[in-house]
Amino acid sequence: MRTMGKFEDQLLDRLLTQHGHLLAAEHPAATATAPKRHRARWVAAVGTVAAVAAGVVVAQAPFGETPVASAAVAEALNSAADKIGSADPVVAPGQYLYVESHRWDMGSYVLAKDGMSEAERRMSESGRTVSYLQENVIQTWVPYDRNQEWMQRSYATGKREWLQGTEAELRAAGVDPDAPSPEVRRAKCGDFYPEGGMRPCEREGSWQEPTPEFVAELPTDPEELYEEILDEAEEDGDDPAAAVLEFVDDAIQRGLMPAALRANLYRALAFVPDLKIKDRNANLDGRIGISFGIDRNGKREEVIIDSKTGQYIGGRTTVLAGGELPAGTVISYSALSTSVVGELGALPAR
Amino acid sequence: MARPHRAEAPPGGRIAEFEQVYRAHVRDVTAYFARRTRDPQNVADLTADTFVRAITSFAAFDPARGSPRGWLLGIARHVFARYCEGVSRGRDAAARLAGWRELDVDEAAELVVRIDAERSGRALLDGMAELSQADRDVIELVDIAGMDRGEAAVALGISPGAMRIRLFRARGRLRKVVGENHG
Repeated sequence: MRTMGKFEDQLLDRLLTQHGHLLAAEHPAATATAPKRHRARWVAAVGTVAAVAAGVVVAQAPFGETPVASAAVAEALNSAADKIGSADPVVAPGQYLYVESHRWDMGSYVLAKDGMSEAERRMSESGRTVSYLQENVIQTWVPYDRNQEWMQRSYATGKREWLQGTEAELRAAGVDPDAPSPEVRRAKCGDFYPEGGMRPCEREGSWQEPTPEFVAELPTDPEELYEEILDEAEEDGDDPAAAVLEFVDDAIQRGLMPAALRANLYRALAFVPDLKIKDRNANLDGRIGISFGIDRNGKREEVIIDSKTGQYIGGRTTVLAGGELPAGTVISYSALSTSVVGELGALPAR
Repeated sequence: MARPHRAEAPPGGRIAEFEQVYRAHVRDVTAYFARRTRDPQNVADLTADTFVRAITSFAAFDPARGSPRGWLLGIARHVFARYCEGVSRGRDAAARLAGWRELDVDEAAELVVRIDAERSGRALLDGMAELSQADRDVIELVDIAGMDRGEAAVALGISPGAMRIRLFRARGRLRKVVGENHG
């Protein structure tokens, strides 16, 4: 405790003399509300304030508060969480969980000008850009026993949407946008892309690769869960609020998060400042849901949730004004569906 | 000068608790204002105003919900905002704070020392003039006043998670401003 001077002593005396009676009452903290949130009052203090007082160095009204997710956002997320229930598809021994992800991802090429070397082309910002969205499908079969063999088949459907330039331009420049397709991988524990020296099933879980062990260790309290995601999101270097949304999107879009955790992830999202309802009738792959999004760094990141069932429909990234592409251009989206099938490689009845 | 008579209370009661909070943190409050004004009388008035509000709402202060320092600096911040608002509207700040006596020479001298001690913090705040008030608030509380993020969240009336995000963004913007001015 630091020592007090005469001023502090005098002030304490005056305080206790003039207002000490306020303290004599019984301890009513249990019933009174702590003065925790002053936001409404702060927001009222609008108006530019000039530092006109003699000696006042820093004087400006405290506006520009970052709002936490609004009541409407929290309510919609919590309501969606309530509706998820325990509605996980039940996979019996011998059966497979089938996860199908439809994705539109952006491909972008900078075309060489005549006489430009490959290295120059790579460095060039003056070359003509051709960009397009391409539809990809990723099908994953997850065995009842997740330590057993999984299969993943990914392919481009050949559907493209040209955003800048044309396909003819791209082909004329010697670029074939058709990836070799489809690609099939098999691996125990779903470790399709083992990192150097790692054997399957040794992977440490992450938000992008949630293992059952990783999932089991997550906090069950939504705010703690939010803090946990934030720990990781801060490392991400980008904007943490947008990163939290992306992490949740990453985690859910694999289709492997149990219902209770998905519900908690929605509840955790209610703690993200700036999260807004962007569209109550967002259409993703023909399914309608409510979109929760954040605008950051020229992009809008959204997750879209079916408000009737609470099920996650997918994620979407849209460019905002100010970039090369027109505002509102969708530059990636993914839609998820899951079902149960009888064998590896089988498709659900449509 | 005779010591004023104090309200009676059992030992360990709320008076003792308030006194303890006061003794522990009054210097944080004077420092907070010393970073904003070089006038000792202003520091004194604003500190007094803060603690009048604190003693009035002490009954509602629940230590379980946050540190006393966070709570006090939250009040200080509010007091300063009200003060600025009054100044900008041409109201005489002294009138609002009527009832507080003038500092004597010793007290003024003490506060001048305090104000001087906050010179570097004040310069830092000055240097952040391009940042929004919200950005400066978080940087001041965490990086200048040395509060942990949870305490600062209480002071600003926001959730700890929102605090972390705000601090992250504010530091990013500060780096950008510093980079632009010196880079």
